[in-house]
Amino acid sequence: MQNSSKKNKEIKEFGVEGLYSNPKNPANTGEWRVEAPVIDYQKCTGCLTCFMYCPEGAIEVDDEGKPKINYNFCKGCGVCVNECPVKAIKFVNEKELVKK
Amino acid sequence: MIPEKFLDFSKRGKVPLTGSRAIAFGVFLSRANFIAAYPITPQTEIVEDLSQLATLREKEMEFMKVESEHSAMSSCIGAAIGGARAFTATASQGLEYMHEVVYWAGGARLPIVMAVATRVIAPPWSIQNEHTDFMLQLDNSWIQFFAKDPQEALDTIPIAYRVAEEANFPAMVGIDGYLTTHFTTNVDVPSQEEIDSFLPKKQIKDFWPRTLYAVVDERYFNEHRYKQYKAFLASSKIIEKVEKEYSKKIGRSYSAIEKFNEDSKNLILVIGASFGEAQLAAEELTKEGIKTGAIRLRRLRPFPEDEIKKVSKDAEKIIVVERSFATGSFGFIARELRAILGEKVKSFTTGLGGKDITKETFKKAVKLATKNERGWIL
Amino acid sequence: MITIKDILKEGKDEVWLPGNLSCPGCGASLGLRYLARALRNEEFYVVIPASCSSVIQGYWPNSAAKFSVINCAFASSASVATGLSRTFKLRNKKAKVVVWAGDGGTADIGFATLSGAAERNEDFLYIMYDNEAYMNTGIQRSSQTPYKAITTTTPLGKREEKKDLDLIMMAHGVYVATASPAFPLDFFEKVRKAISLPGFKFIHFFSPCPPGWRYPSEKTIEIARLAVQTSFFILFEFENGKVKISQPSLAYREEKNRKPLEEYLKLQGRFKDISEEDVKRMKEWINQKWKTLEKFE
Repeated sequence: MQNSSKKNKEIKEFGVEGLYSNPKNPANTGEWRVEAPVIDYQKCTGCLTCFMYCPEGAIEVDDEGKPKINYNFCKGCGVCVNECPVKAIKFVNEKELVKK
Repeated sequence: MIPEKFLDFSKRGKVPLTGSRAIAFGVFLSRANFIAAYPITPQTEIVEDLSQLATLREKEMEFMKVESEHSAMSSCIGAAIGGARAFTATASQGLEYMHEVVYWAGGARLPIVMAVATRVIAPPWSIQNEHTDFMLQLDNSWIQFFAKDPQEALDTIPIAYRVAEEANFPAMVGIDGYLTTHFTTNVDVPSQEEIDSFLPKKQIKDFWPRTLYAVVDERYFNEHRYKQYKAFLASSKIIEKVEKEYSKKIGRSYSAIEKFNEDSKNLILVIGASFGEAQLAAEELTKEGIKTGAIRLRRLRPFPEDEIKKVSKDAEKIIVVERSFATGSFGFIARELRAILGEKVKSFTTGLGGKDITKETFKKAVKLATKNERGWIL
Repeated sequence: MITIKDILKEGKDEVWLPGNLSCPGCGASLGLRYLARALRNEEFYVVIPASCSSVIQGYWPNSAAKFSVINCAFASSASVATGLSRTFKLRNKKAKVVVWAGDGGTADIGFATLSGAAERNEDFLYIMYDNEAYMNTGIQRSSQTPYKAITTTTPLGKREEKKDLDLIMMAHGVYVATASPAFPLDFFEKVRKAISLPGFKFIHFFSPCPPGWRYPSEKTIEIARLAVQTSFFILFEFENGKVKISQPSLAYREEKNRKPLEEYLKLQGRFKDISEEDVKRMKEWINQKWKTLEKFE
């Protein structure tokens, strides 16, 4: 009896893994970028407009309330560059980013 | 309306029921708690009876008449995901309309039970009996049973639920439109207690916060289907075990095939209610000197390959008489049998659009099978 | 009204994870990010039919959703949500059900199921994110594509007007609201209000699409804002038979206060073949839309 119920458990769960996914960042979409946005913290007022409007959620907020771009995931769409009220974010070439 | 005196499920007893009503009783006894259905002849009475039965369990049983069959099966999918014991019923056009989501339910491994009251698929329009709609659902990853009379229809529903929930595959129960759905016999209805001891409460496994049925790319998809296939074939072991248990607890045995005079050299193979006439034809032919027996295929999926091989070991001819319209080389079931048993399988089509199948039909088929491997009986 | 600080206080981490497979600048991804943050204090299940959203979640076994997602067949999202929400009620389970469907799966192929669920007043929130075409299959026309927009199946511009789904849903007598990613706090408020109401709720979310509407990805929010400022998309709520124009759209009731429609249209490549007569006809359509809404105020 014990054996067959164990076997039944196996059939019930056999092959269902392909139906379930777990929460995890799907891809390192930072590799999609052509240019990277960089924040000039001298100009940044901490209004967090960029954080609100990032379609990716790739802008994090640090403990001082300043935005920090997560370059692992930033796709370089440029919404933050376009929307910053004080124009504190600019696009730079990827090579320059690595230097920074 | 179901008469009041039939609504006492605390005691076991014999009740005159049509096939439709027997299915409704079976669903109620199985404590199904989510029913979403759309009426279509000849299944309408199942839906009406269930809507009346649902009023007996107001807080625990949800009955919905949805706006289409596609929605009926989709709602059952949503309900089964949420942890309900879901049921729906349909026929020809409705079954074809929901076909996309029938496949979804199979692939999603959800234990939904569906009753199919078979009927012609238009055009031309007809509400008469024909098994084509049921046959077109083969290979959807659904376990498929076909009942021959109201008694079997009632018994197969709790069996279907038990099997579906243990194997995680949905199950379909087919019955002949009009021949079974509108045909009244005395049915032995088990008590609620007896069915409760056979079919325990549904185990609910919640899945927060997981994503269901996302995109699977080519690296894993083939392997996923392979595992699904293996699990599906393995479910036949579960079905055998469950049917044995039903026989012990309730007292009626069912198996993948029903046999009559199976050691004959001619075997007529049918599905459903015409088994009675097939048995009469087999008797008469045997008296005339042509040794004939009859087999009824009760389980279509997973296909009972071993049982068929065993029962047809010594037969010279298997005369498959199918009440469904297939435009391939052989009938739906004959194809599969021929692949397993070879040239001794003969395929005949008849009874479409509700045309009567009598013992004369079967006698004709056996005589035709001496010279032909396939044909129609008109 | 909720503020950005409130949103951060509820949680710094994202509930819709970055690194999803959406195009850069995707309005739908932004919408899901807002929805997930708005409902982060609940246990919520999102039903997603075939659409861009069913792909941007990511491939198995990783999902960008830190909440439960149920993918379903194209036309059946409202029905699956029906079965799920009714079962939760049967089980006395306190969980919310939301549908996040595109305009194709809502206004075209899923229309019958949508209407059925609304008519039965099913208890869940249905959000249509409207990128105004079938974007997932490569930019084909839908009933929500605006007049004269170019898609692969309307290469000379769509000849028909955009189907007024808001009015159709208002006729079902349910809660209807519109929202835009340029006004995220307004969207947050509407989602939180709607999820607390009983019965069927419908939110129409404006979702700009860079490849589909043919504009550079950085202008997503600018275009969404211009849509409200020209009244091409009006923000309002409909509840108990009355329309309430939302605060961001109030200033643009009078035609003279609206930004010129040409500013909105010239940013998008899908409107490149538009003529002066077409613009006049579109402005008339906007005036007509205001008049209709005002009848319910």
